[in-house]
Amino acid sequence: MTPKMNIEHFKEHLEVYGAELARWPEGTQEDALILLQNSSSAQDCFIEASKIDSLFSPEDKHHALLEKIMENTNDDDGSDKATTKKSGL
Amino acid sequence: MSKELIKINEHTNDEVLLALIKDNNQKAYRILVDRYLGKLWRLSVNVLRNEGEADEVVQEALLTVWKNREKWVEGKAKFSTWVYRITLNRCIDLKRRRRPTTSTQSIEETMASEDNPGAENIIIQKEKNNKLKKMLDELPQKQKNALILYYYEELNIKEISDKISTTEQGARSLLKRGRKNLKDLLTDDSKNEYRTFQGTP
Repeated sequence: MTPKMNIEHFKEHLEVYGAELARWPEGTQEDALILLQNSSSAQDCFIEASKIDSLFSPEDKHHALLEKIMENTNDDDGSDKATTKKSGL
Repeated sequence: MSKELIKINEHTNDEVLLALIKDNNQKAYRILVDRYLGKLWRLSVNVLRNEGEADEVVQEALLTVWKNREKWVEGKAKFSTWVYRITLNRCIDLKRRRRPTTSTQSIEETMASEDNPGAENIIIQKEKNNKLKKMLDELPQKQKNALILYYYEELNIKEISDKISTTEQGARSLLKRGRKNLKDLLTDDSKNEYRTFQGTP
């Protein structure tokens, strides 16, 4: 599928609205997703814009997710890393 | 230097952490996860607008790092680029699989749940707020106001232009220049942080 939105148009929207697609004007969000799916340059720009957005978002809820991820690494060790080598740190 | 003797902390760079993660070092992995979790989560919510799905995508992406730790080749790709890319691609796949878009209720629930942070998170949030406040204070007043109205008051372009007595094009321009300036400040800040800690063993 050929994206309706070009990279310049996409960048212009990112610069004004940030990376939260729901805040982009009606009708542009789906075009942006299609472009994102097809363009690595668009992905890079989107990631950079998202870093600015993240300055404004609270960090508070990530602790539980961090612990959940760490628990899963233990599961992984138990299944296929029976001889886990500890580095002594 | 032997890997066993390397002291690591939150300022240790990704490459060193990844080398240790290859040797199953969970402390190194925890630092790496902590470094990227919030940013990847924000990226995911921006695309998905669903907190639960963002949790799943980020968890899956970061666990991929652990599960494939032995395959990581130093210097072949920049870790940050790689992990952002796999997260974003999973979000896009998920978003496009579940059309039409779901209700916006979940993001509102997300905002509500953010009002009840634990003590440790209050400290982290405070540090982050201080950093952001310093950066915003360096911006011209109108750019700062436009960004605050956009992100914290969640006003749209028309509402921002009314509030700060400018045209809609003027409001767009303020947001654009404000973001550009924040990006530059963020880049400078990262460079300074790297310079400060690059001597840390």
